[in-house]
Amino acid sequence: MKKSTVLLPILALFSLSLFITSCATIATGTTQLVTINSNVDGATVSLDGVNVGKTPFTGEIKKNGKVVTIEKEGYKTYTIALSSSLEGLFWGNIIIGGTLGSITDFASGAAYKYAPASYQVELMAKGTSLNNFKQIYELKKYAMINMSNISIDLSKNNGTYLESLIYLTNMDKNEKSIEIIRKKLIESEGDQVHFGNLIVKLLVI
Amino acid sequence: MRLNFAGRIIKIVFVILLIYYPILSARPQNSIGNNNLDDTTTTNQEWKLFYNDHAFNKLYLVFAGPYPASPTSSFGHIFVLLEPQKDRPFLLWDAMDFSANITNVGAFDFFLKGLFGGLDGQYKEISFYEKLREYTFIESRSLWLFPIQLDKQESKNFLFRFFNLSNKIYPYRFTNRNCASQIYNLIKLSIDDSFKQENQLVFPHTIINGLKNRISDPIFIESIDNLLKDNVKKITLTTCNSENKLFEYNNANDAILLNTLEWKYSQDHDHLTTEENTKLQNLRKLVSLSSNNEYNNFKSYPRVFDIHPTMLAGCGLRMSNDDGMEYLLMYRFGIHEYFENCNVYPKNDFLNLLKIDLGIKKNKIQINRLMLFNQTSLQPASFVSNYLSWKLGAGIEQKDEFMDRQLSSGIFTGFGYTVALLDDKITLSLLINAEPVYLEKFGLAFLTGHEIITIWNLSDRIKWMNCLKGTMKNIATLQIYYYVENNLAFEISKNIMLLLSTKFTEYDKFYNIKVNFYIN
Repeated sequence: MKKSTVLLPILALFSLSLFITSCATIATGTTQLVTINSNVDGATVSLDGVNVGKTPFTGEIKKNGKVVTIEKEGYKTYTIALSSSLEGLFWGNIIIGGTLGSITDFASGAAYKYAPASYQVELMAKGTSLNNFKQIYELKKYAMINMSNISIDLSKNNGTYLESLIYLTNMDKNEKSIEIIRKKLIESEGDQVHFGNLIVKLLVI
Repeated sequence: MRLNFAGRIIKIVFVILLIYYPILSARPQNSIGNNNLDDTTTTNQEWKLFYNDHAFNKLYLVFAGPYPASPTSSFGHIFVLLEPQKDRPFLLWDAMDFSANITNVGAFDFFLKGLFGGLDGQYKEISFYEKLREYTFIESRSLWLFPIQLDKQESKNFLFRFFNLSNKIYPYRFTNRNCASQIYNLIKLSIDDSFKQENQLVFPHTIINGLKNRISDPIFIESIDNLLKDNVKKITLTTCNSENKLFEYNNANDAILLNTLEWKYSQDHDHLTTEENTKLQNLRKLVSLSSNNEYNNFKSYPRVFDIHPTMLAGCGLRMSNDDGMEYLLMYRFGIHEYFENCNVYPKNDFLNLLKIDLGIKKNKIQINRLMLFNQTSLQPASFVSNYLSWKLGAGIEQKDEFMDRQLSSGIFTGFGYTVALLDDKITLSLLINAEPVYLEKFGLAFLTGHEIITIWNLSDRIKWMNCLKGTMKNIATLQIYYYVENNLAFEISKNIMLLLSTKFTEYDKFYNIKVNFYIN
């Protein structure tokens, strides 16, 4: 067999195109498009102390940012410590995601990710009871994260995702409660944030 | 001069690591402690509230399969799930784990600290549905739930220990202070106060063996990948390359389409576009109003946890045109290779922690390969999953393809793409390789090249792997050194495999016959 150089340009081009295709989904650049919603609209969003907009916020923010602060008068200020997702770390491409600071103590609110780079921040009104806040937070988070599976369960009038939602609202599981949830889903136009806001109104305390 | 400079760099890196490691490891290290619950501590009000909230009937040890996209998740993840005494849907049960806190940790620091120490770890509590979302949906990893038998006092001990640990920071390390080792220690100490804590790399095998008197057969929860497989298997790159076709194909069942698209978007994008969001929103409405939907979006059932031992040994013969015959000896400590059968690890993910191939000829022993870490992930991409293939290895490897056959030591990496054909029976991968190595006869070199790997899963017992690899020693000369390797593996019994292989380089031809067997 002779040392081959004939195939090199073809293979190199093929390899390069393959590599570029493979990397197409890896975010590049120094900023990233992020959506931040909060339970009260008009809260100020700041990145590392610099005001970048108000909720509901969708905009580019710097990937090397450390801290996002959400604040509104009458509510406790909530801070999200930004982190790098494992995928981001592996590809050397730091993106926002993963752990969003501690959500166990609920000292000033809580935040969660419900879709790629989309976050819901629950600000705690000053003087709110912690138990009440926790119940609303748990219910809304569950509803927003599992909305698609809840809609699939609604088509069968049964299922583990629907059952858990009904449990969190403190309603009894019956045809009536299933119908109420279906109505809320239709009313929300399939939007996760809207659905979350409608569902918490069902909470029986 | 070049060699001297590179040599100095290696020395500097080595010295930095030597200094860095003890500094990081010298931080105070909290241990789990050896005290189980006793009556004197039960007066604490916070503990009473915690116990009231978390008292459980049964504890499940949960194993999440490996995540091919990240080498740090190659061994899978371990956490526990609590079946509460209070009646609560299982999606809302509490899950508890030990994991690294990666907030504000950069990529370089993550790997360095993960390997040598310096990452902070925490015992955390989270709802099971969030774990389910993270593992079975976003990362497409199946879950194995092993019930663990604990009596009332042991269950209380477990909760008490977790309660005491949950607000503190502990050192985290990939190798010996990871999710598996810490959870294992927690369970063992809850059973027996005098248990000596294990601080070593823990495989799922080790944990299951260590708890074998307490553990029962597992329940398996399907990943989204598996749930959709039967429904979307016709939608591969060969039959469908656009979303419109997916809509046409799936119009009979919008529920499947909703799950498929949501999963696909979560894989593909950093942020959903308005169009994608609108599609999902419309589908959610449509699906909630539809009826007679047969699609099952959650599947769990009992399944045998079929995993092979980590230690594999082999012996055989190698013939070559130039060198005649040599005897071969092999030892492997690792998780999975292409010729092994197992339903726990993805069939296209291969991982060895240590692999040594020796050749013995005329009473002289030589190293043909010594890999300290070697991982290859060849997950096929499709319309719904866009995995990148990659490999990463460190060690010594014989370069048969050069005219002057020689050892190369260093790092072996590659990135590329894999496609599946014939219902996953065949996978075809193309990798672009980069290998910064020290060549025995040429010194330091940056080898580049490409590799086409075809794996045929002919049956559960017969597998064939073909590899065509081209390596460039010097980009300026554009000279590529090729070899073609064929490996045919037969599973003779559950513990014994026969491997036949050929390797043709431009200068020589090699023929191997080997028998591999597991060491339990």
